[in-house]
Amino acid sequence: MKNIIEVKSLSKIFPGKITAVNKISFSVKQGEIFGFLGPNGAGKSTTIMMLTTLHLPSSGTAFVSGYEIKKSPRSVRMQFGYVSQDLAVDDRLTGYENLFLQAKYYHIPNQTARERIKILLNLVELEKRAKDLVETYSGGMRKRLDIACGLIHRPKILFLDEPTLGLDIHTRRQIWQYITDLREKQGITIFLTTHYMDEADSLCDRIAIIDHGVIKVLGTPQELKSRLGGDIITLDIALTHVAKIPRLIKLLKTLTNIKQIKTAKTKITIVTLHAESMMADILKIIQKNSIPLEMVMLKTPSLDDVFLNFTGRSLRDEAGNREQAHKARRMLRRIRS
Amino acid sequence: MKVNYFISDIFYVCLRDLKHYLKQRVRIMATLIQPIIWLVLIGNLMSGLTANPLTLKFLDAPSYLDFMAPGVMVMTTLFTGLFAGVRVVWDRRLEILQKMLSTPLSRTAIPLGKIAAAVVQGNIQVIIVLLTALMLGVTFKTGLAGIMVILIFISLFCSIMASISIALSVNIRNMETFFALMNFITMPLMLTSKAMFPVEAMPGWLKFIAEWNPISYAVIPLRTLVTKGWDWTVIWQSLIILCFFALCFLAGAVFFFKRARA
Repeated sequence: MKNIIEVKSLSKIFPGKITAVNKISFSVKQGEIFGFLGPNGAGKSTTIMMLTTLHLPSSGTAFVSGYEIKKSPRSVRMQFGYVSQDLAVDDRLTGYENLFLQAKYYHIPNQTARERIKILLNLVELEKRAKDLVETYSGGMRKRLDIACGLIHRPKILFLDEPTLGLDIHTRRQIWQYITDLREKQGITIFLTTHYMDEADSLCDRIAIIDHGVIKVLGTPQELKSRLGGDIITLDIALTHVAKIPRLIKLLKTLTNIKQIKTAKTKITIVTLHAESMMADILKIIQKNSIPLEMVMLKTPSLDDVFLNFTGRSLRDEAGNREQAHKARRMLRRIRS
Repeated sequence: MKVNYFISDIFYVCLRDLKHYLKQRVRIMATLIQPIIWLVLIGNLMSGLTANPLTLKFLDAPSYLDFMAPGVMVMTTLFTGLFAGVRVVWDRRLEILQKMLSTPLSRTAIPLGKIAAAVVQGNIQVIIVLLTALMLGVTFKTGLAGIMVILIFISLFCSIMASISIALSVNIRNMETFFALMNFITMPLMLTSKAMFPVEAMPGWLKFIAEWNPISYAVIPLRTLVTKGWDWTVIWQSLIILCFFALCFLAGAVFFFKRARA
């Protein structure tokens, strides 16, 4: 597949020698959902701001749909839709007015604008509230309107900065649905940042983890998880049958796909890549040798484990509440200004 | 085509700000009442106080109310213009500005559209002042044509003030700082000008400041049009000076806006 975004040793150094992004290189394929993960202040938003031409890079460059971000910023701006993490909708205007103005910023003729607004309002299920002031909308409705604004000019790429921050579970699932639909039905490439691991895991085709302005790791969620070695199966043998353990291990080692086997007293720990399918084979062996089991446990490493491994921090602590995230960003903004 | 886009960009940026303005009912009410307070209370009070031959000679006008009406128009415009920057600070706070900057909208058109919106607001408010003054018995020597010329002066003056405001606002991130800065500018600027008090009544040093105060350049032609008549030397002179400054300040506002970081 073609690369729609090419980032080549892109850096951003803010005054005061604060390196927000440090020579990162990566590419995003056409039609994929690409997740950008990292702790607060890791450089996620700064990268998005450079790709969306809001910040000039200090060095390096990037190509968005073939256009270079420094030389042809205006052409770049036609290629993407940008939905920032704050609900950047105009709450003194109606939903319809928001969309219409956005259409005019892209110089879309009035008639076309009206048609597209109708389709988009239908897509984000806001047609009944279109004539109401945005002040009266809930958080989820505002986000949906904001996403609709980002789609008005039929962009090839949609940048979503924390699309579900501060939204409830139901609304989050709804937004995920829109995102996957956009990719499936319209082939839009989606570049998103998120704090939620489950979101990244279920939504993204590929993920990059960024910390201290450097990309730590990049790959599909499955690849990243398997970098940790694979799934872990733990067997607890009944104390009366401890003598049978060495024989059991010998038998288990005949199975394919086993990466590692460890024993500690009555416990056997098996590291494997495809735990679900292995489980049946393992249990069959145990049954054949009539070894009574006290317990079986299967643990699949989550993206949380991956994140912890590569950044030394748990993302769950980072997510915090919306207020904390805002505080951190306000501080960054003070540095930027 | 590019020119069309540019004009369309200015128009829609301006339209958005005006839609906001028209939805602020309290603010509109306040702008309706403010000139009435100035003219009815202070104007009438001072008219009584100044109704003697000596002060009228200073004022060089039929009454203090006639003298003061152009001053109130300029003051109203000054406030409207200087508050144009609030919109920039606010839009940046809400990340709406960043969203606008990520579209193909011309980055020159954004400040110009906002200034245009301020000019329209300034005109609306000055028309309110004009009507109030007419009702209070102020006679406009140059009639309807004169009022048209007054609105041209007001537009120029408003665009200068809005340009200053926007140039100052681009690097300010919070409202409090912005308001403090605007208060710091408006009061001294107003009180050291020829808007409220006759220059003849001022001490020498103040006279000197008033002579150079930019507000005076807008007040003098307006006062001429209201209380004297078609004095073309004054009108042309002020028009050229204001046009020159308006162009310089517009260019400055665009320059600072474009230079600012998102």
